[in-house]
Parts: sequence; structure tokens; C-alpha cells
Amino acid sequence: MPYIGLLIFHNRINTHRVSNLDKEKLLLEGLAKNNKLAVESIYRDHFAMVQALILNNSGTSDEAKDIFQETMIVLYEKAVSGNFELSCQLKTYIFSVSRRLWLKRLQQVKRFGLRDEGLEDIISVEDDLELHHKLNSDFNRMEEVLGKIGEPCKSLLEAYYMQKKNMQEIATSFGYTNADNAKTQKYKCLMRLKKLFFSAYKNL
Amino acid sequence: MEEILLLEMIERYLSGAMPEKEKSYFEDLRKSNPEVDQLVVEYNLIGKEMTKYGHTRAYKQSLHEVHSKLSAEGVIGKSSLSSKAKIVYLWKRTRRTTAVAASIAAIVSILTVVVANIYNSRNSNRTITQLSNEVKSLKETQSATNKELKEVKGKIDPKATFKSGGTGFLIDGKGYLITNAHVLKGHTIIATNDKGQQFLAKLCMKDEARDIAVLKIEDKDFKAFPFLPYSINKSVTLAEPIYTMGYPKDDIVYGEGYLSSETGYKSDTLTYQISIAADHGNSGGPVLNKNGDVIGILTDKSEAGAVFAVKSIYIFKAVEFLKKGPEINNIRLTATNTIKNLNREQQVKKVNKCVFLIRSYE
Repeated sequence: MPYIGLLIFHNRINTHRVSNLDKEKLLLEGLAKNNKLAVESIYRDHFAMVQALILNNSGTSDEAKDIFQETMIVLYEKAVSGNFELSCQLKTYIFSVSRRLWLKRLQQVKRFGLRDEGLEDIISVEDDLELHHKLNSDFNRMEEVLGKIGEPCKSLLEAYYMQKKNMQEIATSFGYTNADNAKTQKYKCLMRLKKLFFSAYKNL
Repeated sequence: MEEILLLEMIERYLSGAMPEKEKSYFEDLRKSNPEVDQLVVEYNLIGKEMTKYGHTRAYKQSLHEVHSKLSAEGVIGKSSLSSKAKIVYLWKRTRRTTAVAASIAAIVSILTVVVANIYNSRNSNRTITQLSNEVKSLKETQSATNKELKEVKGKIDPKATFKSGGTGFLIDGKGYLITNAHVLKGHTIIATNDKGQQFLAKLCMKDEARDIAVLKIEDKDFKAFPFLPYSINKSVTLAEPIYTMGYPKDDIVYGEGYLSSETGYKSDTLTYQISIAADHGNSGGPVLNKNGDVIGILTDKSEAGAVFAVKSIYIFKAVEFLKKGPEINNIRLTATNTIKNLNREQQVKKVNKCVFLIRSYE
């Protein structure tokens, strides 16, 4: 079934006779909404290129997966920030980001540098990676803080803020007698989260 | 309790669910009370951060799902390199290392010549007796070198060139050695013991992913050990003292440190992180705990100076793998530790004999 969905996704793009640029814009809009078909489409078209880059430069297929997925996150962050226009082809962008990320990783483990194939265009992606670095540390901080507040606070807050459940549903699934009690508990959890969150901020 | 009431208001205010009248009242409160204002800002930030976190997490989940789906379909995944392509790939992976190793070798030999020249010229104006002594000792070293060369000559092709080297140690007294896969770039392998005796060794298995390789000394000059001094131990404790022995130069070098983490580079579960002085050439050496049990194989070093060791459990796994194969059935891992109650110097004296300098030639 998802494959049919993918075909429809492609067809929509084709029947509209949109240019390549518009197609890529559509894909990025899809990414911002966590549309799996968009993710899959980009994965299909570009994973092999990144894998070749990593394997040809002393990496393994696991590392290729890591780097590609991190690149996909950079792309997602760009899309979420409302920036659907790339200054170059999607392919060039992905290649440049992956290359930069891999170079960084190589420097950390002190293997040897990249051999430039000279075949691919490369653009500068420093600004996007700086944003990525910041967002990544935001993500890690929230993960750490949520890990610290313990259960049932963690699940409760996740149900409310991430799964967007209403208080009645939450009360039923967590076994509170009524929505008001669940709500009070949620506020207590939120207060704890706030305390931990801002102390984690200070410790940075 | 008061903050909870306030929180409830803040939540309604931020979500836009507050009626106009209450909203203007609340905004007045914000203006007049900086603490309330601060709370609104803080909860707004936290709410946004949590939503952002949730989205990114869901997106990461999608990435994993898509990856597993596409690799199940065979669209992506482990690139199936043909055997020829694999050689090209391996060559591509290692040629830089080889080039660097070759240039280092070149620099070292030039330096040796220069230093030797300086040393000789400095000594040339000493007395005649000293000079003759020198000639005599020169002759002696020359004959020693000749002997050594003869020994190697019999064992390897004279045209063979040095490819890579490191350390290895016995895991079975019959001559089974363990080392790192990356130590063995060439096909002809020579193991040298602490007395400088050289033995030909053959590759039994090599696991690049875990960076582990097993060798067997197959040389009539090699005398099997009835038992080895150390055993191999899977359990470790954070911060326990450890030591290693290896060949960063032609003579064996001892180093000591401690276990810094039960995982390796970026939490890699294949390795431990240790803190110890190590250099090129230490790769493949044993990492032992205070009892003289082998807990790992020293492997590599990050830029920041952290050293990593492959966990000893993979020695067991490698041996299990070998036993399943058709060729090797007599391998038995060393199981008893006979140096547990000895002091460090005595332990090292015994372990020394089981640690070999490994060199591979092409």
C-alpha cells in the first residue's frame, strides 16, 4: 500500500508538469510535515550516492546510514524553518552536507582525509550545520531532562505535548479517576520539568 | 498550589483559549507582576521546545522505518561489492595509510643515516683504541645483522616489502596469536618474540568490522607453550588499573593506565575506552587487569588521545567462529591464570614471552 501511495505522490508531481525545482520544493514541504512518502522518495534517490561517498572514504555501511540520516535531519530542520528554496539542486545540497559531516567525523577519529573525486558540485553549508548543531543540542537536552523526571511524568507530558491527547483520554489511559486530577498531576510534572530544564540550560 | 492555578491560566492564555475579558485582565497582571511575566515566557519556551522535540523524534522514527523498509526491499543497504570491487575498495581504504606508512619509513631511514653520520663524525676524533673498539663492535653488530638477515631470508621472499605492523599475543600455547585486522595489510606475516626470534605465521581469520584477526605460527623453530600465564576475562570494572605491552618500536614497551569507559568511541559497544600511553605499533597488544587477565585488545586512538580496546568477548567469539570452520579444531583458549598472585614485574616477565611483534609484507 505505501508503495501505491508513493506512485500517487510521484504522479501528482508529474501530471502537474512541475519543474524539478518545484518537485524538490514539494518534497521539502513533505519533509517538514514528516510525510513518509517524501522521506522515502528522497531516500530512494540519494542514499546510494552518500553510501558511495562514505565507502570510498574509509567508512562502513553503518556509518553511511548514520551520515545520511543526519543529513536528512539537517534537511528537515531547514524545511521546518520555512526555507523550502534551496540555492542549488537537492542532490548537490545532500552531497555537500554529507561530505561536511563525514569530514568532521573523520577528523574526530583521526583517520585520513577525504579524497576529492572532483565529480560532484559542492556548496558551502556551514550556516545550516551551525543551526543543526544548535537544534541537536536542544534535542539532546530535552531528551536528557525527560529522562530525568521519571515516570509517570515522562509519559504524561509526552502524551499531552507530543501525541496531543486531551486530558480525558490521558486520565483514562493512565487510570486517573477524572480529568482534573490528571491535569493537576500534569501541572506538577510541568513544574518539575521546568526546574530541570532551566538548570540544564545553566549548566551548558 | 498557587503556581498550579497560575499555570492553568498561563496554559489557557498561551493556547488562545482565554475569553477576551479575562485575557485583558491577565495581560494587566503580566505587566504589573514581573514574576508572572517571567513564568509565561518560561512555559511558552518549554512548550515550544517539547513540541519541537516531539516532531524531531517522530521524524527520526520515520527515517529508521524508511531505512528498514528499503533495505528489506533490497533498494538500499549493504552494497554488494563483487570480489574484484572489494579489493579495489580495500585498496582505496588503505592506500592512504600505506602511503603515509611508506613516507614515514622513508623519513625514518633518512634520519637514521643523518644521525649515524653525525654520531660517526663526532666520534672520529677520539683515540685510536676507542676507534678500534668501535670497529670491532661494528664487526660484531654486522655479523649479528647478517645472521638475522639470513634468518628472515629463509622465511620470506627477499623482494617482499614491509606493509604494516603492530603487536599480537598468544591465546593458545600451540601458537595461535590474536591481533587487530588492521595490523595485517600484507599477506606474508612474521611474528617476532621478545628475544628477536622470527617465525612465519599464517592468517586463520580476519574480521574487519570488529578489527580482530587470529594467526597461527607455523614454523618448525617455534616451541609450543604448555600453558600460558594469563587467562581471558570478560568482566571489567570502571576505573580498574590496567596495563599493556606492545611494540611501538623494535623492543617491547610496557604501559599502564585505567579503564575509563565500558564503551568506546561515541559509545561504540564493541570496545572499551582506556587511558594509557599508546602509539602506532601498540595495536593488537593485550590489555590486562591487575590480576594479569586479558580484558581486551588495544586498537586505536582518537584525536583527543582516548585509546580504545576491543572487548575480550570478541576473542571468544572469534575462536567459536574458527571452531565451526573445517580447518581448525585443536584451538583451545587459555583458561587458567598462573600469575594472579605475582607482583607486576614478575607478571610482566611471564607475559612478555607471549607478546609478539607482528609484521606483514607483500
